[in-house]
Amino acid sequence: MPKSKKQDQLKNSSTSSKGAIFLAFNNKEINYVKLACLSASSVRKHLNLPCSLITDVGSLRHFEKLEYIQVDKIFENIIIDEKTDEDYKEDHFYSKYKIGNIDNVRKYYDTPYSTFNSQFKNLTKHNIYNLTPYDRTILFDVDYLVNNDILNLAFNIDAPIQLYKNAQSLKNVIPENISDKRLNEVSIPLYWSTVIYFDKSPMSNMFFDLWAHVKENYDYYQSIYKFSKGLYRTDFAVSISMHLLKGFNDCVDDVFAELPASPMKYMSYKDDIASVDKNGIVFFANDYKEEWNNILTYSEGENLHMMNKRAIDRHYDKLMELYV
Amino acid sequence: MSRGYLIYAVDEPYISMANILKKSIEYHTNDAVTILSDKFPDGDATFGKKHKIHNFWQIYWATPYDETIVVDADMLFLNDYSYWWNYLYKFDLLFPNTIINYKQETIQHPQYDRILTDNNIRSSYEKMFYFKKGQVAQEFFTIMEQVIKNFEKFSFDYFPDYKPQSCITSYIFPICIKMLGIEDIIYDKNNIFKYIDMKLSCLNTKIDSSVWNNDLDYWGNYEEFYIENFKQYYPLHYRNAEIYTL
Repeated sequence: MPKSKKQDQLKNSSTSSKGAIFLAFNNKEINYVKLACLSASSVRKHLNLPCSLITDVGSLRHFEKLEYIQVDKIFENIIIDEKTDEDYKEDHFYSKYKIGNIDNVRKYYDTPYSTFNSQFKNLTKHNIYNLTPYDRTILFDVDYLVNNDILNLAFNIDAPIQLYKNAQSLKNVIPENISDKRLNEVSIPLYWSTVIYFDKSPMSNMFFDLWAHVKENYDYYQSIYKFSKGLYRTDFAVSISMHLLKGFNDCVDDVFAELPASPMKYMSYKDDIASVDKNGIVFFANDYKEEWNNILTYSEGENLHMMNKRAIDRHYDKLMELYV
Repeated sequence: MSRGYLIYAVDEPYISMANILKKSIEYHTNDAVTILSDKFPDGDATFGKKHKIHNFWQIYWATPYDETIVVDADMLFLNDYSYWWNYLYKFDLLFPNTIINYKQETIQHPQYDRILTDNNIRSSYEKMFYFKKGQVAQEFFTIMEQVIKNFEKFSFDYFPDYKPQSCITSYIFPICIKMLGIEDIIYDKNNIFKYIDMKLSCLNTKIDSSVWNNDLDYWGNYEEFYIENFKQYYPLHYRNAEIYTL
């Protein structure tokens, strides 16, 4: 790279704004704003980044009514998505994925022994490109806990889009479920939309536009890429967008890089938290094939995608103590 | 120095496949292509044999080129790989170090051939290889003549635990490489020279039928060829799939 271009980049990286952003839309079962507060606290502590929240009026009021935490002390910006529940119901796409009277229903596990169905409001995630107040943003799912500062390296990598392709479970093995590795056995690899770094470049813009296009034509892409019908998964939409933008190839390159500290470690829906101590978390890591079988694992200093949201809720105060 | 591709094809359907491969190479490049199916310098030894590879050692003397890339008939060229020549001329004999499947996953040796790995011998990935006329290549093909003509004996020596049932290139080449002790110098460590292999055991996908084209969707032509939405870049070793009428 020419010296002047590198110098420009370094100059830009020191002057452009950077921050973290979270989307949180409560449903009847899960208080996503509460989870966002925990996740943002972990980001503030370890990455020292300003955080912004995108939510709706209902979710925010619900949270403020129930919780003692002041949201505006954690988030420097609270951006209200004006779309109401009625708007969602009129959304042609949204109403297609419904069970009974509930739209885009997801079956959530809380350990192998408890399940619940609830609405999954993830349809506007691609709008983040337009909503973010930062030049360079890391989008975090609210169930992602940051426990080290490695993700700050993303701001030094010259790639407009960065996300995770590889993941590993609490037992440090690759996911056992095929839908956490590929869209199906014969199809393209899965890229996780859990954490996404992006800038305001035309390539990023194209990526999010394509994501919107894949969402709008989800049935078509389902038939082409042969993934399971039903729930709209942003991971799938992101994976297809990446594949299309890469010219139907699968490669990590200068445009799309893997985030630092790959693979992304995750606690699955069927895992549980045993306890939280002052430094880390003790988990029950569930066996995918023998559900009665759990082993204890300990995690300290590792970033974690905590899929079991009810488990977070049960240990919320202790987890929050890790980040104050 | 003359350069060109050589396709070894004896009998049908390999001659038809070779013609399709030749067309695909000529579509993308101006390189010379020769199909070797008869007129072997030392005569035809394939009569009555199930696998028609008994003349394979003669390609060194049969090739009209100083530098030759040998390709299996059941392959398709999907791009212009002419840049390979400027890389390959530095070597006397070169085989791919790694090959990939249609999902761009690197194929592991045990999934490619269990007999070889059980006998601690690595696969040679000889469906496409390069040689330059000279002492190294001549020695290699001279050894190959002996291995082919005495395959029973050599397979007993090199595969003591689990003997291959067929005299095929997948076993002949590794024996020759091992005999000459050239494993360290004949594989492309830079992974530039490679192909896509559709061997069922290497697809990391459950295929119910004996040919992959019954289970996987594919479409395209010489210019752009897709399998399950993956655009294929490297030469495609499609094997027994019935796609060669493209």
